[in-house]
Amino acid sequence: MQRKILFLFLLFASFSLVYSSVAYYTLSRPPAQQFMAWGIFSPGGTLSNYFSGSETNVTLGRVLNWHLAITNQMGSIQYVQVVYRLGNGTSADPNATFPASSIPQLGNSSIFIPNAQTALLNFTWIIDSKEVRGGMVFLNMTINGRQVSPFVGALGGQKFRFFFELWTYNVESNSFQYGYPGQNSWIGLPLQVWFNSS
Amino acid sequence: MHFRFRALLGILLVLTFCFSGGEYASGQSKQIDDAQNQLVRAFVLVQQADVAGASQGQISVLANNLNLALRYRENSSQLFAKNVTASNLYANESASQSSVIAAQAVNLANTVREQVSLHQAVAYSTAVGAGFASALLVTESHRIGGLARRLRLRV
Repeated sequence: MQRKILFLFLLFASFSLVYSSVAYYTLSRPPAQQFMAWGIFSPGGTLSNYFSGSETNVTLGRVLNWHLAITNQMGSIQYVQVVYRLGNGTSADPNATFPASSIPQLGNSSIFIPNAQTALLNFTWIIDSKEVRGGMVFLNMTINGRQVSPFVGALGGQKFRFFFELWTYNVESNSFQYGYPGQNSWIGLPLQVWFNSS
Repeated sequence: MHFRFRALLGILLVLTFCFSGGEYASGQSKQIDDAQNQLVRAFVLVQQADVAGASQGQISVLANNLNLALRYRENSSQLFAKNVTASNLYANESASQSSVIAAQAVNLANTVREQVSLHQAVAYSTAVGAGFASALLVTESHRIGGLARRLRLRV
């Protein structure tokens, strides 16, 4: 009789272990690679043709409407900030580790993006006027309704470039941090668009 | 004597202006700072509800409200240099919207955690119950044949 009870108990423990494992598997969230992705879209909705033609020369008063599409696959809602700067051909680039901190930011746009969703941020810009000093062209612009005068110029108005940096809010440091948290370190995702204004 | 009195009066006026100006300026920026702090607090609570297992639809609604509060806060910052009263209105609206979102997020997180606990309790209880039933079935399987025969005889 005792042997039978022991056998019953062993079977009960074994079956419970198996079924509990099944329950745990069913209740757990499936593992997924966490990442953020983004791109700059032209008014035509493509990742190219930003100037509606082969010319990358931007004339005074021409309004350019771009859209920044940001996809969140981090597993939870994210507070995202896009920082934009104007550089030239010799400016230090932002990379996967560091932002282009040597160039002051022209502005930023923020948004909350739920997990597994893509959000759009408008980037509307126009060159209001230009100043030429010693062969260098300096621009006065309006970006998203705000007038800015970047101190970076370009020789002959050639090889300007917009840098776009993705920053995410870090709850631990209570501030925005460049990139998004990867498995071992933060991953920077800079984008850039070249243009001339001669 | 007359000069001393004037100098003293002048110093007092300058000090009064400085203190009132300082208080005024810091009061305005404080409202925008408060709105931003409330916004971040609401975001952290919504993220906690999300991690706890709230549905995508529920989080999307809260995210839309967060974005609205963010727009108010941005308007507040933009208007600060031009129209302080309007700036304060936007900052207050943002802060109050964020407070509502924070309260909703806390309720949602609590509800979700309760549901998750309930689901876990039901799932593991079922697993243990099924384990016992399976063990009983195996140990008592030899009796099933006899039981079936008896039932057939009765019919």
